[in-house]
Amino acid sequence: MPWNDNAGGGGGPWGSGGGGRRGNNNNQNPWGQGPGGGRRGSGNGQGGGEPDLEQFIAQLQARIRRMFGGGGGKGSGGPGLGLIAAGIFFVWLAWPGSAWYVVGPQQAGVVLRFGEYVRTTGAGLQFKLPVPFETVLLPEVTTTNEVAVGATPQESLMLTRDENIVEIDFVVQWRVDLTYPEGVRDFLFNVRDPQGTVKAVAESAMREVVGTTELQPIITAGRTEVARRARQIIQDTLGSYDSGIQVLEVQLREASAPASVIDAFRDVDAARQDAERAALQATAHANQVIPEARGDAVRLLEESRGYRERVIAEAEGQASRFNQIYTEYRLAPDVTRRRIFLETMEQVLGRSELIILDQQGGSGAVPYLPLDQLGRDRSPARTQTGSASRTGER
Amino acid sequence: MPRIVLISLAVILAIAVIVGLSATYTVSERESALVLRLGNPVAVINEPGDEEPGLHFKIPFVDDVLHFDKRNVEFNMAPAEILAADQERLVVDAFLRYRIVNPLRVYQTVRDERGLQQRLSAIMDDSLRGVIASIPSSEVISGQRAQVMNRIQLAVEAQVATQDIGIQVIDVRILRADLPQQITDRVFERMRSERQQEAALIRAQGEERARQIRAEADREAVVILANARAEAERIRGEGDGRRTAIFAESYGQDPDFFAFYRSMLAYDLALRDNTPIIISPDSEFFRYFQNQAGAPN
Repeated sequence: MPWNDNAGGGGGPWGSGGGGRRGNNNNQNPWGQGPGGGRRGSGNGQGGGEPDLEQFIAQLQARIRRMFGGGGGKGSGGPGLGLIAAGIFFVWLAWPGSAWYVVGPQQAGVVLRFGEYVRTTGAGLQFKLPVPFETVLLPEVTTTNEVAVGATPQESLMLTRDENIVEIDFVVQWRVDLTYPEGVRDFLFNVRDPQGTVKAVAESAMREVVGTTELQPIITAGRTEVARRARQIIQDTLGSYDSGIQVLEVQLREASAPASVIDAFRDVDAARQDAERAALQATAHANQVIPEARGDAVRLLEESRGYRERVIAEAEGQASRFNQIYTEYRLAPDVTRRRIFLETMEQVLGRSELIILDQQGGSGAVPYLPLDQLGRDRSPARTQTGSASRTGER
Repeated sequence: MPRIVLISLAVILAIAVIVGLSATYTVSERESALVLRLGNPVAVINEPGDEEPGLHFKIPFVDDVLHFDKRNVEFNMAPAEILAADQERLVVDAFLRYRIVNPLRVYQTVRDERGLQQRLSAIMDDSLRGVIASIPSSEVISGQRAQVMNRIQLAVEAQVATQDIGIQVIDVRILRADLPQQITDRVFERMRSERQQEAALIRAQGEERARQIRAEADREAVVILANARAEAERIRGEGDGRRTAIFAESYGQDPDFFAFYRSMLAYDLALRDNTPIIISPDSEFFRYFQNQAGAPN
């Protein structure tokens, strides 16, 4: 079997299980080390088997020689040989994995007879034919396995339909498909390297989905949809391989713009905030200006109402005053008229700076009046020139 | 004498075991076996469609048994730079999944799995280039990826069939179909400038909205004030009108006396303290000033 050894991933004909315990690898079972332990044995011609075997044979030969040499008589060697054979037989049966095995709660026990599938057993202690006849594979069937895609830029950068690049980092969770009876068989016998298969299929499927979706939905609301579609494609593809793999979930851990352009994307978000802030500031301005205007409007109106009331009240007051004077005036018009005139003149002239100027006196000459001085010093300077004389105040 | 018998018995037993073991071989569920009798293929065990895994017999020392994996196996091609129909360069990383269905043909054509993978590499490369050269790059990258993969698979299958290398092609998938690095950089550059444009637009729109809000508010404030002023003038007018009516009613009783009375009032109010007044002694105020008798004139 020249190439099967490198192809099978190490081990015998029933090479690598899905992480399950090997049925008969490195088992050193006594049967295989018997006198005839030749080429095929139990299929593991590797490791330290050969020297041990030679040693064992040498010891056996020595023992036989000793037996025959010492015994001499016919039949006397029988019991010794039989004893050895019985011991070997007992050890063989008692050896774990030879005639019995234990299936853990997360495992399935798949029994092979000379490499041929015969049955699948559940958890617990199980029995089978001893080793060269039946071997058992113990794959973990209920364990959830995880494959992560997107650890390196090469894996994570994907082209979208609108020819942008998105950075995707996701995890696929899978396990052996137990939804149909042959799931475990398919898983063990149909696909080499299940983990690698899931990863390759998952990456391809995700690129297919991303390639038909535009950037914006992928990094925003469409994430779950992307994951859902990818899951579907991965499951369909693995199903077409009869791989016995059930895809439980595809989780998008990261779906964002690539690191080298993320600043520009953040700036778009910042711009949205800026725009929002500008609008809010403007609204704040509006909220200040309009109530202020309303307040001013109310003030104006109240002022004008005040003016109206004041003006009317004043008018009424003045009218009333006039009416009362007029009533009395009608009783004695001349006297009242004169009295009012004189009283007013008294009032007015009494507090004025009075210059009495006789126009007949200075017939030809126009008297000189320093008007500027009149305006300038009123109360301190009391002397006046010319024919003007002044009356003091009361 | 019995000693010789025992020794020869043991030797015969040992030989029997060795011969017995080399007359048997096992075939696992996941492999098939090719039996060569002195180099001449005589049987294929457990090939697809003829499942017979388990214990088998052969002629010791004459028959040789080769085991072939019959599982679904991935062959991943090294990424290749391929020219698409629109002369755009694409870096394509594809993988193929196959299963050995005819171990004898595999043995005869490529001998073993390593040879098989070399052959597949050539076939894949040829098929990929052939198909992609007829499709614009955008279709490979995005649009019709599933169909492109299908066409590549058909091309690969055709070549596998003509060369008859004993395998079944299960699936061909494009893992990556990317633009080369310098184009990737250009894409980044474009994405960046697109975002910058978007950001600028959003900011401008925000500014526009803000100004609109401000302008509307300012206008509303002006309107409110103007309306208030108008109303205020009306109210003032009302007051002035009422005042005028009151005066007219009151003073209208005797316009002549009103004129006199009002003049007097005005003099009193209008002339401040120390107002210089030039007055003639002939005025009415001084009527009795130089009239010692105080007689009426």
